[in-house]
Amino acid sequence: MSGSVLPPSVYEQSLDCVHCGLCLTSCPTYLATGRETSSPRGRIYLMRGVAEGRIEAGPLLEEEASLCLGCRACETACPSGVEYGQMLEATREAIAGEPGPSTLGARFERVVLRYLVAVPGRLRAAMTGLRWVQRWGLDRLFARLAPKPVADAIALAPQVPGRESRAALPRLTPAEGVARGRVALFTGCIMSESFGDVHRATLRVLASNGFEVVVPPDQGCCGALHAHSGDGVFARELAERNLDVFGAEEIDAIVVNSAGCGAALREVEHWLGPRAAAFAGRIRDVCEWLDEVGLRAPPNPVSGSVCYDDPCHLVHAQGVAAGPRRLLAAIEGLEWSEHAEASSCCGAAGTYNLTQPEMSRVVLSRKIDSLEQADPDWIATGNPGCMLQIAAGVRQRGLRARVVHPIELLDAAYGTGDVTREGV
Amino acid sequence: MSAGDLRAALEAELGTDAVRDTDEATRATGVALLAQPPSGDGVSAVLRLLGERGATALIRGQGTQDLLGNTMDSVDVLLSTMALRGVDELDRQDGVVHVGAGTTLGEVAAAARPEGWELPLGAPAESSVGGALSIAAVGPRHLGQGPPRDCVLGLEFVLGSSERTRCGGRVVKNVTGFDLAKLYTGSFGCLGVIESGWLRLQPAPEVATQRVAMVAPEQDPVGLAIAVSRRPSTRCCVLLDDALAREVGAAAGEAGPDEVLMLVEFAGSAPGVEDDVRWLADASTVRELATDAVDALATLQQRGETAVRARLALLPSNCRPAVGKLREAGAECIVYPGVGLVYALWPKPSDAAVAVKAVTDAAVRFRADARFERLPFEHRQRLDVFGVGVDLRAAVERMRALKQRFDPAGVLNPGRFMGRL
Amino acid sequence: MDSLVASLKDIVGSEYCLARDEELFVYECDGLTLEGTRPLAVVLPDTAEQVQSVVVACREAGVPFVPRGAGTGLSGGAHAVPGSVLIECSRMTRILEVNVTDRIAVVQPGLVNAALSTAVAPHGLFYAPDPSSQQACTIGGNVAENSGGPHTLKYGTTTQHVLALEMVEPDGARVRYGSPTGFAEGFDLVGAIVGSEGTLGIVTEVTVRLSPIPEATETLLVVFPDVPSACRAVGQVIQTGLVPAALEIVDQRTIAAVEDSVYAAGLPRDAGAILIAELDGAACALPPEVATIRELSESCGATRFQVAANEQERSDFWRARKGAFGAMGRLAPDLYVHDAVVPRAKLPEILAAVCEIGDRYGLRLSNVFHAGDGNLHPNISFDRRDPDELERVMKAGREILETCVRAGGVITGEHGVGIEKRDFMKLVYEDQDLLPMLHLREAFDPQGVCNPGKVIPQTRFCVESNPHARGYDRVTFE
Repeated sequence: MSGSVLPPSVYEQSLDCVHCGLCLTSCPTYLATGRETSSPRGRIYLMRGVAEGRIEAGPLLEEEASLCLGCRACETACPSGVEYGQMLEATREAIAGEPGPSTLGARFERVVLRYLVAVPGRLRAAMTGLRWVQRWGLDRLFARLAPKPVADAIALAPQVPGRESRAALPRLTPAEGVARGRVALFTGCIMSESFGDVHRATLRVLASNGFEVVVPPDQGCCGALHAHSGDGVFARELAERNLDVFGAEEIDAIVVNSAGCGAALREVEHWLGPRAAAFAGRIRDVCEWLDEVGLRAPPNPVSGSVCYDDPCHLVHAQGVAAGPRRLLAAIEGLEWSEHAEASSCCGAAGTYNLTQPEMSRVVLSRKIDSLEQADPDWIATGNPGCMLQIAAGVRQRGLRARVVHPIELLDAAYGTGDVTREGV
Repeated sequence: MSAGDLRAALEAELGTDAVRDTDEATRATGVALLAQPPSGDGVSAVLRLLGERGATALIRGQGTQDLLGNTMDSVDVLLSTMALRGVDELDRQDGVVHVGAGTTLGEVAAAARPEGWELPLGAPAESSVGGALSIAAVGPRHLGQGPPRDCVLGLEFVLGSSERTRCGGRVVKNVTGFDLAKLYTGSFGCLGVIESGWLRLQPAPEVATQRVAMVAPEQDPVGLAIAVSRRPSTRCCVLLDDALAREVGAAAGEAGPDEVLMLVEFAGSAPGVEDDVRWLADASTVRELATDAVDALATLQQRGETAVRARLALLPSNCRPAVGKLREAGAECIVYPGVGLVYALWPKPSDAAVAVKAVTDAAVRFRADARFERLPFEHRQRLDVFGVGVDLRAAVERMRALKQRFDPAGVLNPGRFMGRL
Repeated sequence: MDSLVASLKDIVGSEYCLARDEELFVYECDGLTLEGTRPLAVVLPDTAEQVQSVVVACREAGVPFVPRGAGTGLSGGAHAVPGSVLIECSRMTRILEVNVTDRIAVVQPGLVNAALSTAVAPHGLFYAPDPSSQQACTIGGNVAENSGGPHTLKYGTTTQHVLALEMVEPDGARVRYGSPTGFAEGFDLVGAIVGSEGTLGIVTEVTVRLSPIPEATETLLVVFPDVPSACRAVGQVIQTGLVPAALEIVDQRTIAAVEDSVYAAGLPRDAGAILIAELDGAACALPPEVATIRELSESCGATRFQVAANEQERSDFWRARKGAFGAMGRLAPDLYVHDAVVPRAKLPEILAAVCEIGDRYGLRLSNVFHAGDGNLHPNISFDRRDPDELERVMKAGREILETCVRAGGVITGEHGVGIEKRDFMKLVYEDQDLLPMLHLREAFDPQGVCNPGKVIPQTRFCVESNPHARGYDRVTFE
């Protein structure tokens, strides 16, 4: 691979780095290994070196571009504002676009992401199939026979919920009480299939807060997973479609309850240019939105303790951290505590837990250690991938906590939902 | 080479004024000839001369610590630093001073005090700066002053091999090269001779006041003393046995059985001192002192007549049990729990054997860094008074490697320091 | 060398011995990025035993080694020398013991500085030396450089907080020096090792003194019309005998950079200079001290005096100072951070001289520094790809150091000499003065295999016959 393959933007952005090293201790892979090569500073140095031709591009760049979680905690720590997330994406795209044979795994991943995950109908069918496999216990049988990496992936897979949870959402949900505005809900792909109840809870809570919610049926995947795996071309296509669908709606905000999607949608100007500014400017995470407009005091107490866990793409990529915490603090009877590793990555990182299972496990265990110490009733986090990953860790460690989306606790506080059921 | 030849050579180098027989005061060192070079060049010349002739020297300031250290083989010359004397520059804005090694602490104080500064070295006023630094002298106000090495900013230092060198500087923060000043401070004159140096002063406190409290055993004197030591304005906090308390003028009236006297000095800003005085009064019955008992204690601790005096450095949490054991062995103790220092005194020479055993046992058992500051000659001959009871061979090996390079001819203080270096 | 790499892989495991070209490239420099040297291999040991085995393996192969912490040093102390093995301590991050009663902690060298204070905070304690890089730098690195920080004014530098340490020496021996009591008998070898920039051995364990978190803290933000008046105020504060916990000055250029960055804290852009002062201690003692600083500041021309009303304001004030370095990084591709010290009373004239030098060479120079210690950090933003600007930066740097030395100052207050200032040692010392440093070095490392070529420049005393010394002293920093 030659240095000229890296786009000039990567080189330009690498000049912002002063090599101070303040990113090191925020990087999960550096903390796990101690290796500079597995740190943001080291990766940036390598990118710059390759771009300048001072080092022959070899396998290391690709290895590290894969090993990096893309959590962007380094961006939060960086005093110089280095846009590491963009540099990583551009590098992954450059590597993916390289001529020559890519691995079987990489090709498989691209096919799955483009032709299965991004197409709602096909994804639904696949998940229905998976549900039947799970009901009949075939997955556990397969896991015993399969090689370890596959078995691990199966262990991570959620129990696909029943038809009710995955049924289509109402196109329009009316506001309750005094109407304060009109918003659209972004539904994404994974959330709808694994956590349809979270969408329903979102609709109810927004309605309770006086917002009419429209769910455009033609919307699609946000493209985050594609961009993160180097398929920027396809990600842009998906972004265009969403721009069209949502652009047609008269709304105060586009509300997103998945942090990964929210981050991708917010940064769509980077893919599509200034014409996407209006769209990007209206994206809000649901907790951010409710905090911004002012939450109507929820009437019902919810008794128990909760630890809020920051999804990387909410705290680092979108800078939203205080809002969700304020909302939880507003729920009567809910004991809210901070655990030590709240804002460090859980290791899910999109499809990372499948592509880098060992590091994903190491990173997760740091988080689970901290949650074990805190021992809450609920762990609330606003991203489906994180919910799945943390739930897997909780199960494995035998902790008693239930993993929920913060909106579900609010739903219970408005008397329209129930968080005491068996959780994820 | 005869003593006469050596004298002649020294006189040729320094002039006859600077070379003479030792007098009453200095003959106790066992050395007959004294050389007192008036400058760094003179010191260098003497060391070169001695090195060439295979002769040895004992470095001496005011001689307040002549009895400190291991017994030495005979030495040819007493090398006095008393002519390297004077306060060269006092920078009142920066709070630093440049002095010759032979300057007494009293002379420095006289220059610094009127400008609102103090030299934080815990040695008697008569001792020389060079001497105090060479032994890293520690006094009763150690808590407020900090260790001697912290006040040394730079030194002009003549190596044992006679080169005149400088290290450090006049600024309060400096990492230009290795921190040689740390190596030299407390090196007991083994590596070279301090000519002069830059020292960091402390601001003279707005107020200073001394208090005395009688503490019964059930009130946990050591625990209380540690708490007092951790108050912001405490400059000295020491527990004294009754007899010692009387000696320094801190005791008044009869002490209860097993009662311990706690002597405290608070120094600093007026509101801070007031606050700490109030706190102490709440914690215990307290009497204000009119006399400077802490100064008297300094004299007792550093120059007092006693057959045996050992200094043990411990973690504060080990003070109580260690003192218990030492008292059982008949010691009178001066205890600084906040700093972790215990001075154990035995007045009679016949106590020496018991004392040596008790100190060695305490050092091993309570992981103390112990030394004998006073010990009858026949006992001193038989042991290394530094690092009693602990295996310090690795450190001694490094010290020897350094000694070989700094003083290849073995001119300086042969045998005086740890490891009989 | 392949057999050495194979042995190293055996010792630490193949994932912790890096020998591929690309990997070595990433390790070619530390916080000093203008030059770099790729090591032969990088090893990341996990235990003192592994460190020992690595040192012995290097010794047997006749190869020098270089210790490294987090690689945040600014003087190139952790740059490899050609053909050396870099021993990176970043995996040795454990706190081995915290003794709350006696206020000491025993830690491994790779522990991040800030992590130590965080860990002992629940006990009402903290680790006082607080370099600006404390979120990344390690205790081992702090020991090597005798690191400072804003709070060293009152609390002292690293050397005043290290009681004992364990070191793997160049001959492979593992030796303990010092004592937790702080009164170790014999020479102060710990004091000699702290600040020796990793040239005497590789430290594998450190016993440090912890300090009590003060009862009360007051943080002040004082605005001055220019830097010299702020410096005058600092000089006067020192002269009154007041010992604040910190006295930091930030100049206008730096303020502008900070306000343009994520660290924006609402600082006044028209301020010539800002003094951030911190006082700590007994709550009752602080008000008169605050009043003194106010009085002295106003007599020196201060136009605004603010006392932080709460934690949020306190951290806002400090963000300006702590974010300065990173904020400066956005102004240009490269940043040269100087580190000289002058007597406090000389600060006004020296700062004026430094700015004049910056102007004369046509450079973007800004100042942010530990005024209380007289420790300046003139920062120059530039682009190394412009050879003319690079040359001017180097010339200006030399002139700045010469000016400081002439005023009775020294060339480094906390970043160390490393390779960057090695040749400037001669501004401060004669060859004669370097002789005892050579003695110290050789007493620990007679073969010259431990981080050779750092700190001490060539002198007439250097032994030409030492095969390891030859060549390494030639690694120059231009």
